[in-house]
Amino acid sequence: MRQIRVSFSWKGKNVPKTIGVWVMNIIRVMTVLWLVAFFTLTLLYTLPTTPIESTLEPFLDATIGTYFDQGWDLFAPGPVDTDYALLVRPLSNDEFKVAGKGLPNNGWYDISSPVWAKQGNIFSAYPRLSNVITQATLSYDNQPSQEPLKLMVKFASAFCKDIGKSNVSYIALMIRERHSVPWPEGKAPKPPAIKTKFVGIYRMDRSVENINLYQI
Amino acid sequence: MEPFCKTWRWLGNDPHQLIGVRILQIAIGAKLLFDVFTELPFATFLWGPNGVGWGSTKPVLGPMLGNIFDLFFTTDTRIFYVLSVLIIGALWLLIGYNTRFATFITLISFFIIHQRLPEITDAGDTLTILVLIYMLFLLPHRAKFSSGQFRVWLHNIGVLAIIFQLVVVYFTSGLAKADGDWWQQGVAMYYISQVQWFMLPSSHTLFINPWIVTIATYGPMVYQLLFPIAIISRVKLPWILLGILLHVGIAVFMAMVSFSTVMIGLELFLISDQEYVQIWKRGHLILGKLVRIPNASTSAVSKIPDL
Repeated sequence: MRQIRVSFSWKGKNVPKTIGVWVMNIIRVMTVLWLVAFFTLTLLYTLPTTPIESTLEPFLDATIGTYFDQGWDLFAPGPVDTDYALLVRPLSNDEFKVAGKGLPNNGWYDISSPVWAKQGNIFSAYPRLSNVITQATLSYDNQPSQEPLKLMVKFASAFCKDIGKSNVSYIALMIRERHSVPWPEGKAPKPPAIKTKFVGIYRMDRSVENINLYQI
Repeated sequence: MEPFCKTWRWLGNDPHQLIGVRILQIAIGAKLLFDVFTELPFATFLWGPNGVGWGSTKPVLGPMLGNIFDLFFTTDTRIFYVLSVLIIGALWLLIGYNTRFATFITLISFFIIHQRLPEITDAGDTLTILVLIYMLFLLPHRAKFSSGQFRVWLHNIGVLAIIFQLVVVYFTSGLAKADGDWWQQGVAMYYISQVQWFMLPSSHTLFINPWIVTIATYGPMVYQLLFPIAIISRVKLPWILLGILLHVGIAVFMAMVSFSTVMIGLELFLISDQEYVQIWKRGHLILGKLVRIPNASTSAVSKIPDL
């Protein structure tokens, strides 16, 4: 059987090849359009609020906000000027029973400051570990919700296990805010303003993994 | 019509930033290896089923795919599997082996870890994930290509995406700073330096100096705002050098080594292949001159008549 090859030509050009070139060119143009559209949406999503952004908010949240979430405020417009430290008081069963009348003033541990102090070793995990505890504390302080609270309880429980207080049943949590002193304008800075905020008493999470960070 | 033709040729003819791409792959590989190896002793505490991690991949991948990916969080062993894949991917990026596949496995494994514990992440991690997505378009290291191929076009689209992303990062950050009172008053860095979480204790006293605090506040803001213009102007290379110095400062004073590594990699990515060749030639020329100095002095000595 002889094969019959049929070739299409128009104006002396090979038609399938020409169509192929055109299809590829259309795809090329589409990639450029995608690039322009994508970065226009990204810019609208990341820029400070504009009327266009307000109008397109549901669409921007469903696209860039869901699959390419990003925010580049980076210490702006107003940088965080407060240290949010998590304080822990391990409580025995007996201490827990009388806790309703008031918590003891002694025996509180600051579990954030030791991690901040270790950040001096820049080639270590401590700067990122301090992100974990500080982000959770800051987030709960600004808007109390379950996720940061659970994280704080687990971190505090891991701390208790680390310092050999695995037998405690409850932990009391408190947040200490240390506000930066206003710019001194040539004068000696005043001591920082400190406030504390009681979070609550929670059952110690014995199942939490060891952190091996606070051992003395 | 001419700008359109010029753009078409730029995108279609030859792949751009091949040296920059390689440097970026090395920077991202190094950043991820640094993160994984420093955090490895805390892995089960951070991401394991009994650790502090609480996140899920469902918000991004949807319930069906998200449920499958979330299975990685159910045992410690699976977390170590994910970290092992991340180490392999990052290592391959670092040495330039099978870079497209390495980019893919790095992206998947890093995304899983990133979703599990959002609190540990910083801007460098978000940027790394975005850049890894764009890097999927790039030609693999030492790939053979011919001018005008579609894969060359896609490579150049990826290059543009990475550049645009960096412009978005700097410009939006600069604009947000310009909107802040403390940034306008030139004292923002003083306030940042007082927070123990952000700054190392050694820098607390440094930023009380009015000169240092004003320059350190205005410098990054002006740098970021002018970045989109500077990188298409004649000051491009000095601007990139300034950006590298800025990020070295951030690494040292703010202990953000992995963030700074990615940012420096992205700054170096902006330098074109032709510019790298020029820098290399100039470097050789300067080195050559330096090397010739002892020779010249030797010849001068030989010309001194014997006494």
